[in-house]
Amino acid sequence: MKFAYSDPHLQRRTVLVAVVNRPEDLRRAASDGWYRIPQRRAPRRIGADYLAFYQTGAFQPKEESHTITWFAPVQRYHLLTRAELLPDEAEHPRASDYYFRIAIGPLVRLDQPVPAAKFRRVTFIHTTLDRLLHAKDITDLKRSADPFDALWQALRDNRLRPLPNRLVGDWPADIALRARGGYLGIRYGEDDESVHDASLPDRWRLLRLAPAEIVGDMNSCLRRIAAELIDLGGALDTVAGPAPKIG
Amino acid sequence: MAADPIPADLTPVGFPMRLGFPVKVLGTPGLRSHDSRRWQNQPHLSVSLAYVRDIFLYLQSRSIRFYRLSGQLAPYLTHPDLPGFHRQLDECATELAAIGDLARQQRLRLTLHPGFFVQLNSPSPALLARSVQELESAAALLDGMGIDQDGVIVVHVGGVHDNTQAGRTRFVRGWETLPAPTRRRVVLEHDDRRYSLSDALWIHRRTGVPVVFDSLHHRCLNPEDIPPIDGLRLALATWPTSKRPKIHISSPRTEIRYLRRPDGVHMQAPLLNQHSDFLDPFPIIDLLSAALSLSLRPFDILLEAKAKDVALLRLRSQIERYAPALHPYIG
Repeated sequence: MKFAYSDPHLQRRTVLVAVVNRPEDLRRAASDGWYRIPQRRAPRRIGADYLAFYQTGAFQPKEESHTITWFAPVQRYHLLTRAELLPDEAEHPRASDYYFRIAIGPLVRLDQPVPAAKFRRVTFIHTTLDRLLHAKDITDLKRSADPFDALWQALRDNRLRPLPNRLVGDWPADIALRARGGYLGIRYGEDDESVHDASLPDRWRLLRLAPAEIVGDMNSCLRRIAAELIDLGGALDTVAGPAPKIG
Repeated sequence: MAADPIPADLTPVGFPMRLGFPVKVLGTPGLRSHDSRRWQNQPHLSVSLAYVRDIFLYLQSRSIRFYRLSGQLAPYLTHPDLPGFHRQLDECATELAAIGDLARQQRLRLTLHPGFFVQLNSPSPALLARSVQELESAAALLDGMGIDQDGVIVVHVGGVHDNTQAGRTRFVRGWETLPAPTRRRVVLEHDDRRYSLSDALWIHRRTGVPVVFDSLHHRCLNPEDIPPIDGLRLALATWPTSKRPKIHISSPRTEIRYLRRPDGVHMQAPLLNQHSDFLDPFPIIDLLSAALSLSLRPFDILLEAKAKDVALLRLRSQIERYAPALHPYIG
């Protein structure tokens, strides 16, 4: 059996993997030394020692698409409006929205780029430098069996298309599902803050799922989601695939 | 003094007493309290604030509404040899305001405990000046977040140097050198070896500084033999009505200490003034029940235990189990 040496320093260094859809954003990160994340879609955990970039299928040449090839040390976090961040686009509809401007050092190419062969619907991932440097696939980056990831995968397995990090009025939802008659937001966590339906925007419902519920009884969670979706007229975005596993 | 049971018709007035913990989060892996890189790697307040945001979201998920920020949020902010770090508060004005907004949204009380080198009673003019500068910066940080007057900065009296009476008097003189906006945030905690609760109350009578009652310190250093509930009552009375008092609660460590030395591992008996990993719930239940039965004004409770937030969550569930009448008063 072969034992891989892990440097304790690397195990402690944290990495935030961000999804880059536009090649110009990666070019700007390389040339100007910063990357942006909209505050309203920021992950629950944004602080990290390094920022790594997952390049989607929009990237050419194809060998870098669907991989993490580049990462960089984080230097600063700043909150700026989009207009301050991109003065040339001051007329943009979201010009007054706040963004995290993450200042980074020089981009470093991974000796062994990390592909997403099995799981391409990548959102923000918080991991360690050790895992990033040794991962064979993006699924190796997960720190442990995260209930959120399990829920996400279960929704996908049930032919639904979850959308990450949406705002439902003033309430952040970790997952959104589209239905014929509206939207279902799913809030992941154990907070007991009560959300009144009256404070939600039209056609939105919000469901709260605690990690313990997901771990303890995933089927019950899926049934609750299914009941809400049926009330909202049935799920949209259902993808072709095998029969649902809810039951 | 035996406390009466909590009156059945007593209902919580306003907010329940919030349980809080200091700095480090242990309940979930990887959350950092501040940017701890050394100066060569250019640490910065903005990075600390990104970490603090992540901690706040964790606190919300656990319904924790009281947290002591790290005293090193802005690294090297007042270091005399590193002027490149001195402008961090200005550089992070927007980020500070945003993190303050988030704290208000979550109804989260924030406090600070600056480094132990802060000594307002130091006979050294240089150390006194540095201490004043550090406290001014801490107050400016909380002001930058827009935190209300419940956001206090906790200091100790300091060293004894020659004798305690002279040390107390020097603290009063040091206090008088603080600018008014800083004074409004500073509160005084008695300690377990040098300055007792009575010393802190002596200083309060001359300065008006509110006194933070610490249950373990009071047990370890109580030359006047003041019962804990009376000590709590005396300390609460030093707080102005515009500020919600806070107290510190901890349990003494009781397990064997293992000391590693070149000649082997040595076992030693525990020191009573060290904090335990988790809290003994029963004396805490007794103290809080007594405070409620005597209708003392509401206060918040910072728990000093090595298991941090994990100890808080455990204590909360133990109060629910062993003192259900007390549980509605605890937030």
